[in-house]
Amino acid sequence: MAVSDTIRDAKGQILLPAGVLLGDSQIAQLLQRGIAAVPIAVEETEEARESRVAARKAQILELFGETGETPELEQLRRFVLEHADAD
Amino acid sequence: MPTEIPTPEAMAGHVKSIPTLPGVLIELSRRMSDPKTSSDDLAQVIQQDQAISSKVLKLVNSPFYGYSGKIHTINQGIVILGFNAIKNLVLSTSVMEAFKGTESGEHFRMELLWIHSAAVAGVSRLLAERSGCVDPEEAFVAGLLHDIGKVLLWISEPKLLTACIQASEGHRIQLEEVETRVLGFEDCELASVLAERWKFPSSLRDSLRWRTQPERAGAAAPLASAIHCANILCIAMGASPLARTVMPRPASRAWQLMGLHHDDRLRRILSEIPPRIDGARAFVNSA
Repeated sequence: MAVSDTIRDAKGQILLPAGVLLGDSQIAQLLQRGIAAVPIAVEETEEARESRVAARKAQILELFGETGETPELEQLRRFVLEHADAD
Repeated sequence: MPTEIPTPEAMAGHVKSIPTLPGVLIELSRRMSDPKTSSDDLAQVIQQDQAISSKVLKLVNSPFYGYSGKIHTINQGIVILGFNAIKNLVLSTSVMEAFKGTESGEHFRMELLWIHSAAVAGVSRLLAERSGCVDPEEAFVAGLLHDIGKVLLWISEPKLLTACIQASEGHRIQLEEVETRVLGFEDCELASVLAERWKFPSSLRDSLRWRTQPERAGAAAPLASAIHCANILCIAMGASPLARTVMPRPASRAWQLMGLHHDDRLRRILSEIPPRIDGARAFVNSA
């Protein structure tokens, strides 16, 4: 179980960086600082990932159409789709 | 232009909700023109407005601005960022505060607009840093305020803006083109009216006015190009100001000025945008 975001104290000092695994000592340290709840990273299933990428691609298609109207839009459409695939 | 539709100046003039220039900005401008003024004097002026100074500190210390937990006082901010940057942040924070209570409508959601604006601020700054032809702090503020004309239009003529948005979404025409046909002007002209009234620096005023046609911004063309491209990149990456925004067309010269015509540069910039959108969302939700 890992924290999904960087955890800071009231002064903004980092207590736990994002991605750190939560063990007993980390939990004790947080409780000592009065922090009773932290966001936890949830692993995405392959099915959930595929569905998220498909939704994103549909959104990109609606934005750009099948091809970009100008060379700049076509270049952007290509790389935004590439990014969606790699995400 | 249809006769029943007011000019941008008249429209802005009729909006009672537009506050006058905040006292802290008037005093800052006065002190800045005095060569004997020290950074301590200027910090004191800002600190007289507790609400604004705490908002400025919160903004600069937010992860998405990039000085997370490092700037504890306005004076320290002046030393690290420079006075002009802090003054611009006071200005943008004042604008955001002034329009904070604006209510959303079915077709115009303030939360979406602010998240988009904050994301454009972060990406404008990124483009400024990479291109080297724009001051990054100025780019951040211009990005944050680039859509303020839409907010003014919403406050002034909500039914007209709603009609424009519906026509834009229904016919897949850019909102600014619909505004020009229906109103006779784009919302960015309203932004420049606010910029005049609040005595924004001329580069900021001109970049807001010409954000859709950056090549017409004269000396402010590089700044206008940064926010023009950042707006397009944020929409492309999913941070749109409207639920069904129509993709704007990049101006070729602006695209080239920001180096985005190079595939490698564009690919790298795109990969750096999602954390900025997440940061913008977290910042707006915590404001």
